[in-house]
Amino acid sequence: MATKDVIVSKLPLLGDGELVGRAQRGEVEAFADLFDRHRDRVYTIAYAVLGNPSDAVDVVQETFLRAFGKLSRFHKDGAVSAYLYRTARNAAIDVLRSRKGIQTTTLDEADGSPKPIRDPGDNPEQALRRRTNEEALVLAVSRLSEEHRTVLVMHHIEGLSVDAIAKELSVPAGTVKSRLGRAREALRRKLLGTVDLG
Amino acid sequence: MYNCATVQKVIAEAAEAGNLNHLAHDVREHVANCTKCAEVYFTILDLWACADLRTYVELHAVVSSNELPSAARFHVDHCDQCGRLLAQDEHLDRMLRSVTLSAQALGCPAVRPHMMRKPMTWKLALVLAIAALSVFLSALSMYRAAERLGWLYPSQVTQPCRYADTSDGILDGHHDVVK
Repeated sequence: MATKDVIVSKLPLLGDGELVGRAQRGEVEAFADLFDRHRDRVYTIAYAVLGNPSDAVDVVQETFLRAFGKLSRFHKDGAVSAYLYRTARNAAIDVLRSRKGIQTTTLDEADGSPKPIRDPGDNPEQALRRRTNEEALVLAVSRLSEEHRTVLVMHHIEGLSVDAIAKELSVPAGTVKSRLGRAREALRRKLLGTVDLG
Repeated sequence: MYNCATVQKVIAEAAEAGNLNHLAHDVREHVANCTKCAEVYFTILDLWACADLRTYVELHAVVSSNELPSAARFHVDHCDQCGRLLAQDEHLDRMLRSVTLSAQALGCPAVRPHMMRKPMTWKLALVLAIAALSVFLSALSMYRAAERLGWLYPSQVTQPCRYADTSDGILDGHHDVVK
């Protein structure tokens, strides 16, 4: 038991590559730690594409199960996160296409809606405003056209460069930039009046 | 509808005449949707209008005035509306980069080590290679043995009775029958 405790306490210090190695050797705690580390980002991506919390949860579970089956592929630290984000996005897009239309969720459906990560420095009022803003932001992203939503999620949430997006979508970098600019403009228009943009 | 060559010619002529800010609506629309022509237009544009700034910001996904050409920055510094829009874009960009929704209620999927696809180690690869080689060799030796025993081809067929090719040109068989 003591040995297990020591392993668990060490895990947060390890890189993704090391965690993958341990998970491959059968340490389920290492995989759980990978899950804890990337869960929120994967969930945000799925939610931004789907705009629906319960579908986003399903996508997160599916994404991690797929990743578990392919652990042997990930040796470098960045490989796991890149795979998880890409798989989550594609799985969410598949769900969306299978639904043939975006199922929207209103901000009033607070119980089932996701909670933004709370900054420890926030007072309750700031936390509430921040939560409302972030929910509205992600919901607004989910209501953009597929073309705009995809580039916004890839660039801003997944953190991919314009060139990487261009390569993945097989379009020129200039097209990615113009889609990003137009997506941001469309998003700004949607958020005016609901979110304080300064 | 204009093509790129026409638009670029119009832009060059307007620049020479100092009329770049008075392009026709169709030309402006083309510039707003064509990165190549936009590049030509914005490179020579000195006096930026609000519409030019919005087009440039959209085409280049600009989020900060630092990413703008100096002539455009001059416009932003003297236009409250564009300055405010750019500040909003910058704020939106920051929000998008930092937004992370919490999924703390979400549990890790129940996985067991045996569910994991095993990586192919060199030992496994060696075993598979030896197995494949031995299967190939035994198949080869069986083929050789079958060939030696004559199992692969049908047994020698007896030559049919040949009635032709006799010296007198008369069929032997026929001859016998006549006799």
